[in-house]
Amino acid sequence: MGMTHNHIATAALAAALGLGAAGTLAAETTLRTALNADIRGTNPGVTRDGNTDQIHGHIVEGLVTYADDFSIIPMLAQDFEVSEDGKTYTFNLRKGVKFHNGEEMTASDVEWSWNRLAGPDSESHCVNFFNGKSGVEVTSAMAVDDHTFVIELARPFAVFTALMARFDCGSMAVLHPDSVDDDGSWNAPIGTGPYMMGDHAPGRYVEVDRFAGYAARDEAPDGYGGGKNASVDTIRWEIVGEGAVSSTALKAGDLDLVAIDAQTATELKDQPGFKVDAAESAIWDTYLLNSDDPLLSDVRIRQAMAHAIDPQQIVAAITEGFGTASPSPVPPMSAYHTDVQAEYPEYDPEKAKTLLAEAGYDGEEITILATRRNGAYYERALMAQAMMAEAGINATLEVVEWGTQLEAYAAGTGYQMQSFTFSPRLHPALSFEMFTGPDVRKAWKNPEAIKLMAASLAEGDPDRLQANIDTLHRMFMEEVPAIGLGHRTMFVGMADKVEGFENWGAGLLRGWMLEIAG
Amino acid sequence: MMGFVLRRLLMSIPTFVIVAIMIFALVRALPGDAALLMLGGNIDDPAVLEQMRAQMGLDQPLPVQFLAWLREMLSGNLGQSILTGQDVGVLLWQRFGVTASVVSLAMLTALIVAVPAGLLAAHRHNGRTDYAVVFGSIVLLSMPSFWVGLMLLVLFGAILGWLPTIGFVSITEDLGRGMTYLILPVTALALTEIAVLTRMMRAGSLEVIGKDYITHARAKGLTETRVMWRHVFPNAFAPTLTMVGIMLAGLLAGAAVTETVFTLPGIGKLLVDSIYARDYPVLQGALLFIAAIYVLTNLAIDITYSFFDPKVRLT
Repeated sequence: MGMTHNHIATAALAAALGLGAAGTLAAETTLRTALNADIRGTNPGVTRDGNTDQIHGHIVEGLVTYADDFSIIPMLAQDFEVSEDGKTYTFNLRKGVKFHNGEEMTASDVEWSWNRLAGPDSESHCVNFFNGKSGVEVTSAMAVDDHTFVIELARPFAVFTALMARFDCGSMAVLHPDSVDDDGSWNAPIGTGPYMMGDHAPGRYVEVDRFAGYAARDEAPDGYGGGKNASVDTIRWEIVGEGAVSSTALKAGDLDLVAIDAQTATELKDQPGFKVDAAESAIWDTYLLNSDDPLLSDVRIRQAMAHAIDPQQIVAAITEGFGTASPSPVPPMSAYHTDVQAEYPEYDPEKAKTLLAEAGYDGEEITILATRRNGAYYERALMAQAMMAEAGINATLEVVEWGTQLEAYAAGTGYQMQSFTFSPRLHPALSFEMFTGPDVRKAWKNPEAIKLMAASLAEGDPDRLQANIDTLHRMFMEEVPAIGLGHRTMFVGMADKVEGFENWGAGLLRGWMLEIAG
Repeated sequence: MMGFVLRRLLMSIPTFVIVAIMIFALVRALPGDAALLMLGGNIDDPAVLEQMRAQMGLDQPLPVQFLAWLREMLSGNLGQSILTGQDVGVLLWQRFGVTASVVSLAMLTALIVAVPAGLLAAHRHNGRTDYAVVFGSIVLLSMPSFWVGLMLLVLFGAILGWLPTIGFVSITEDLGRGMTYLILPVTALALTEIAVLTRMMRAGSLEVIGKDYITHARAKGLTETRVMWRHVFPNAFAPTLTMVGIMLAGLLAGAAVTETVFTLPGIGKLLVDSIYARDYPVLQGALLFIAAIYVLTNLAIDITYSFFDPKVRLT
């Protein structure tokens, strides 16, 4: 795309004022990518969903964030200390960090931002993670001086910083108070991120523009943190609802970088002018089993199902051979994924038949709930059905719309088995917590497992945490409240000129790492 | 004529009331929880879900929700989108503009092609031209619009590179660029319409061509062109016009598939998105709006009849 007159004028003015990076007039670069639905709004942690979080993640930052291996690293904090009793977190803020309006970030901005999301008047769902309802209770969050921010907890909680780093809360985004109007209503995000909110044409596109005053950390990029030395001037997300259309647009040169499916990846990887990236994410594809169901309450039936289903074959089929099975809920890139987490019931239809006979199974119907939504829910269900049939299990499919399936999941009723997917959980205890607990929707209600999971959430010592996670994993494989398949392979297709792209476990685009060659 | 229009508009009031009740009941009967979808199914805490329900006003009993909606609607306020907070009325109007520009251009194109093609086929009944037209329209009818759209994108966007594959620029912003974004969706829509309308026009014309007054016109020594345009066309057009009305209303209510394939921010796409997200205010507003389009389009078609068929008097 050529430079418009406006861009030339702006660039010339910037150069004349000495604002140009090296005094030279470089061409503006725009990277065009796609979102399958429009953003919900510009208010991080409030008007959000998975798509929206990706845009917010370019504009705002928090005190801490996730590294590539899902450990917690400081972002706007220079570093942080935890007191002996595990109840006081002291964050030393980086100096010289600028907001998009040019003002320097201080601890009072951090305090204001914390109260916006976690204070009593919060409009954000994030307040519930810190008000004691979910285990963590913040008793005070205050600026001590310009560059020190202290949070006190009622009880120690090991995953506290992991909760702070949550993407759906914009990592407890630090914003300039001018982000809201005088009456407290939301205006626009004035963050500290490497990009600023740009043009948004609802239903059409969203843009972010590079923030020239960004203060990058010295480290190399790591997960959602580290040094963010953005090179592309504008990132534009076109709203394209249909995957086939976005990959056609990539081939036509109307988009530069697009999330694609396995089939398109196979097709594109040998095509000149394009490259394909395939990376495992922390998104967990699984089959949830309803242990409250009269038939499935017999553990031998569930074990038989696990032996009847071969995760390796299914993952290979849905990823066109790119992916491998990883049935543990703990994602492979996690520091807590060891040889223990690689164990799972072997594929053995004969063993399944023996177990079924022992349980007195007599051809009773087992219904698999699935949806045709993107993510191969349906295909996974179909393959499980075929494999279970081979072991003598009479499985049928019930295909519903996603909203309907989600309701069945939340109610914990109306299904025996469902093809399901969990979004990334970046702490090993949270990987179990997502399906373990007393709530109706949770597949695993064993009190012993719940106790161990709760203890793991509070465990600060890495070795003891690993031991807990290993025990949980073995119990999980023995009791089979769910049958894990793998962590979803994410495919991204891009034009050759796009450089610097690296996917990571959380699967969120990191536009600041991208460059456009030529 | 004015009396006719007024009476028809008054008659539509009870229609709207019934439609409103049905829309509300049907929308709420949809399985699926709007608050749950809003949270992306990521409910780590039931308190979060409860808070979201309260924020969305879904914690109130259904009759209370219905009356609140009705009251707001009667005062001209369709509410705000749960998803984006935008005003539903404004949103519908913006999206309708996009749909209307694509659909009206497509319909115009289709009529320009289909009417002469149908007349010609009828005129050359059982000849080669007739067979070619019938065959062509069957082929067009048999192709799913989703596939036609994608093929057009692949050919003119990806292979030839003549036209943009994604995005949209309004013709009111930039006529030249706006048109380049309209060519493919208009073509995709028009192709199906051409197929249907050509067949209607051909069937109608065949029926008229056999009538005595056509033989009479020919006997007077009128040219074939004049016979076809002056005598066959006006009398054969009424059934086609009915079809135009039905198709136009259907398409103005949202050409969801075409809008999805061509990334057009139209009303059909809005409707589909709001169903998936259970964005109740938008969904209810859009359905009411669509009901209004049907009523008004049909009224417009009824009025147009009188221009073509002298037997129709609007009293």
